[in-house]
This record gives sequence, C-alpha cells and structure tokens, in this order.
Amino acid sequence: MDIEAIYLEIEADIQNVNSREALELFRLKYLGRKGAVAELTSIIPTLSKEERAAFGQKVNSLKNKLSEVVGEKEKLLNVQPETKIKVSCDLGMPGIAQELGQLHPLTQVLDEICAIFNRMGFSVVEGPEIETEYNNFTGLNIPLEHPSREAFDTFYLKDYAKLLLRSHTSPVQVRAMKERKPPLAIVVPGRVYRPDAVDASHSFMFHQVEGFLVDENIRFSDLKGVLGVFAKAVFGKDIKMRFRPHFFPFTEPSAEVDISCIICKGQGCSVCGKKGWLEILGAGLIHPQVFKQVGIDPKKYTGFAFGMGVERIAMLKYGINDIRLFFENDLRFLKQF
Amino acid sequence: MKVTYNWLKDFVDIKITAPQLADKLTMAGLEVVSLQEKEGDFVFEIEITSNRPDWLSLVGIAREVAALTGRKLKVPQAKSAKYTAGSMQPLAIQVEDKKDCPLYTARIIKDVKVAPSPVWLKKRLELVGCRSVNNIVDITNYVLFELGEPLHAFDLAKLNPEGVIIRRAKNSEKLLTIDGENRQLNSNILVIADREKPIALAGVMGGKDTEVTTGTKDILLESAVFNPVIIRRARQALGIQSEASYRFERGVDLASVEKASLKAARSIQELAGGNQVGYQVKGVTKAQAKNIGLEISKVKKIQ
Repeated sequence: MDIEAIYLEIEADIQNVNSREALELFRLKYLGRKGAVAELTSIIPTLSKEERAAFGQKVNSLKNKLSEVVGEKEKLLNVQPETKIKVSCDLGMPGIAQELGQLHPLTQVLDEICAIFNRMGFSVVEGPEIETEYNNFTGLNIPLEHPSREAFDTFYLKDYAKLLLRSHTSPVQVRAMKERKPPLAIVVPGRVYRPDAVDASHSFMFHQVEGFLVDENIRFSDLKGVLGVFAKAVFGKDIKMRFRPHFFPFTEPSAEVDISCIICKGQGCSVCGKKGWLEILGAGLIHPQVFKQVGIDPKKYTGFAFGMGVERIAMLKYGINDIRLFFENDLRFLKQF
Repeated sequence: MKVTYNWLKDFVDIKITAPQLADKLTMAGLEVVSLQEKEGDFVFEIEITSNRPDWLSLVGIAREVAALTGRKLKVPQAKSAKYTAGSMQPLAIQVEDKKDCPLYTARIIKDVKVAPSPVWLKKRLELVGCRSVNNIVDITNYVLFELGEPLHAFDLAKLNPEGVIIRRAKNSEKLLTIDGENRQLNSNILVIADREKPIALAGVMGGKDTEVTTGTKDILLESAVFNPVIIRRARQALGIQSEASYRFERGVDLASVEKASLKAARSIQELAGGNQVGYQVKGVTKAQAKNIGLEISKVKKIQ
C-alpha cells in the first residue's frame, strides 16, 4: 500500500468533514480497528528485518499525523458559535449588603451579668450539663428521699442511674471547691434542665448564673453588698432591694432577694402582683455541711452563694412576658435587642 | 397552704390588718403568695418551705404570728371526750414494724349521726380549699388543718372487728381508694389492714369500702405517725398527693397525735353525738427533745 497516496487521500477527506459524525467516520476509516493504519501495521511482520524499521517509522508518523489532524478538526467543531451579550452595569448603584448577625438577648444579658461580677473580682468557671447525682444533690446537702428534693424535679439519663441533666448550676460549686483552695470568687453561667411543662413562665431548659465567694470572715453583709452592686448595675441606681428569709438545703441562713418593682416603682401593678416587689434571685451563706463534703474547714472559712435565672432577669429588664419567645428564634423578636 | 384571718384569730389576738399581717409573714419566711378577701374573711395562701413542717397548721402559723406581733398563743386544752365508765372495750392494734409506724392510736365512737356539717364548718374548710363531705369527715379534716395532724375515720361495721394491723402490703394485694382508683400494692407500701385485707394506704388515703357514709353508725378514729420516707415512696409509686401525705412526708409532731384525736372526738360528740367506747395507743408518745447548740460569737462572725 502506498503511504504517500494515503497522505493525499487524508488531505482530501478532511476537507469534507463538517460535523462530529463525519469526523468519527473519518477516524474509523484511518485509525479504527480495521482502518488504514491497522492494515499497514498488520503487514509489518511479513517484511524482511531490513525493511521493518523504516516501514514501521513511516506508519508511526502517519499515525501521528492522523491524530494531529483529528485533534485539530475536533477543536474547530467544538467551538461554540459566538453569542453577543449587551453588558450594562450601573457603577453608581449601591451594593447588596450582607445582613449582620447579633448576639441573642440571653447571651447579651448573660455576658452583662458576668461582666458585672468580673469587675468585682469574680472569675467565670463552667461545668458540664450532664452531672452526677452526687454533685447535683448529695454534695449540696440535699439528701436522697428528702422533701427538699421536691423543689428540683430532674431529668435522669436512661440506663445511667447516677447521671442526670443538672437541675441547677450549683454542682459547679462542688466541683470548683474540690479542685481549688480558698479564697474563691467564682461565677458560673450555664444551661439547666427541669421536667416542667412549657408555658409563659416555664421551660424545660433555661439558664442560670451561680456565684459564690469563700474566704475567712465572709459575712452575710458581704453578700448584701455584692448583690446590691449587681442589682443597681442591671436595673438602675434607684432600685431598692430586700432579703426575705427562705430555705435552701445548701445555704444557712438562706434568703430570696427582691427588687422594688421596676414597672410601678413599688406602688403595686400587674407585673409584681400588686406587691411592689419582684423576686430576682436566691442566696445565703454556704452551709457548713457543703464545706465538709468538699473538704473545706467550716471553722476556718465562711462563704456566700447566690443563683439567679437569666431568663427571669432578661424578662424583667426588657419587659418580656413570655419565656418561649427566647427559644422560638423569631427574627422579629431577636432584632429588637 | 391556706389559712384565714378569722381562723388564726382563734389562737392569737391580731391587732393589725390582713395586708399588714401578710407583709409580716412574708418577711419572716412564710411567703404569702396571695391574699384574697372572701365571704367576710381573708384567705392567705402561704408557701411553706420544706424545712418547716411545724408551719403546716393553723396553730403553727398562729405561733409565728404571736411571736411576730408580741402576743400570746392561746391553744385551748381539749376537754377529754365523754365516755361511760365500764363501757370501754379493748381493741387490738398490731404494729408490724415500729420504724414504719412509731405511734398508732385508735378511738372507737359508737352511735354517731352522720349528717351534713354546720355552715361555719363547711365555710372554714372551703375557704382553705377543702371540699365538705359530711360532719365526721369534715371534723377530721378540720383538725388536720388546725393542728397539722392528719386523722382518718373508718366505718367500724365495714371492717373485721378483731382489730387493725399496720403492715406492709403484699405484692398481690389491691385496694380501692376513696378517689375511686383501684390501686395495685406492693411490699414497699405501708397499709392499715384488718385481719383479712388492707383498708387504707397508711398516711396517704383511706379505702373506699370502709369510708364514712350517711349510713355509718360506729367509727374508728385513727391518729398516728408514719415514717416520712415510706409515705414519700408510696406517694411517688402510686402518684397520689393528699393533705395527709404532704404532712407525714415532712414530719408530724408526735405530741399532736393524742391532742388531735381528743379534739376530733370531742367535736364529733358535739356535732354528731355518739359514745366513746374504746381508745388504744400503740407506740411511743413522747418525742426525744433535741438540744441545738448555738454560739453567739459565731452568729456575730457571719452577720
């Protein structure tokens, strides 16, 4: 077969290729399994040794040439017809701004509370939301099968009798007092869980801030001073505060702390139930039994502790009447803070 | 817990108004969560903390009012119930475990006339949130609210007269309680039983079959103290809340048991007639007084 003649044939054939289908037929004719190149290759073994090398080289360059021709044609056929778009751009138009997120109102209030205590020398410590039965109850002088447990309905973990979702942030007291030595001044922000039916003032999950101070010669008057600074910082300078005797198993004496109603200024309104006072937190001097449980000598050290609901503080501060609003994450609500 | 202004006045002279009293109580740790004027009286709803079971009665709160206002507490001594000498009959009380029931008393009063309560009694009970049933049941409730000692009256004719046993229930036993529920019992639950069957959930609720009804003539009046933990477990296991279990769980004064029984017997005789024919006490009647040391120097150190 005359290789030179094939070259000429190729030249002629490629001119007539105008579509991909035609190109495929062209490729098969020359490079296919029964194409010209394959035919030439098949006669190589029949040639004498001397002829083989030269003939082989010729076939190879023919093959390369074909690949080149097919490749070029393919490129030509693949080019999309040029479309013409009229580009208009108003460089004076303002851009589309990306909306900025912001801190959740509860985070804002939580940060504010912690910042106030930070300024008084308290450091922030956190603890796990899954707690041991001991840290949540026994270590805090809340014995098993005692009526004082009634106030703390609790979610227990399935299959783990001694583990629960903490029902208050007080277990961090036990943890911190075991790990560190007095003097201690700590605030503990965090989530707590209680199996309460959800309504305007209850949620199965809410936030607390716990605080405690342990040193020699800590008195009830120190507690009053610290909480006075706190209440005035959050609710304003004119706020009045009162301590009502109460009972908590982990403090003695214990008190509930009220502020004068921020809506009616103590005159009596629907928010304070005509009492003129709003309860904001519980507090007291740490029970000697709690000190004994964590290995602090109650003869040497005294201390106070307090705990407050963050939602409650936020609701009073902003006049919000439904706790569910915090957790529905309706942007119309969140954007107001 | 609810108390009324006029009822408190039975035990202490109050010279301040109801709202002033509410404020004083709140600032003493008895938080008045609501004060309502009702039928010429004032109803105080007070939140009682779990460390103060001594406040779970009218007298207990009156004691606090007396201290807060500098007045004397007047608790009239209950006169002994009338009985005819020689007519007292023995009654067997068997307490299986003293730890479950340190004191049990039973009084038998015969020939009572069960009828609706007088208006004053109905009104007082209703003001503190208790439904009136009949004079006998109302008196037991009245004494419960007044002295803090829960009482129960059984219809004597409906139980085996040989006596009562305070024992743990058997796992196979059941009891229809006065709220109409059929309760499956177990050995963690303390019951009052006659020779045959349980007749009441001790310290929690009476049984339907032995309750006092209009046809009742003779009654067995129970006044007792039960182990707080046993009552708590039974209440949790069965899911029943009652005025009785609420008090027994927190602790009832041993000394009030006989007082309450006597006071109720006397009131029953006044309002429903009847003769007392038996009284039996089983257990310890005097509580050991505890000394609590308090160092004034320590109090000053934490002020």
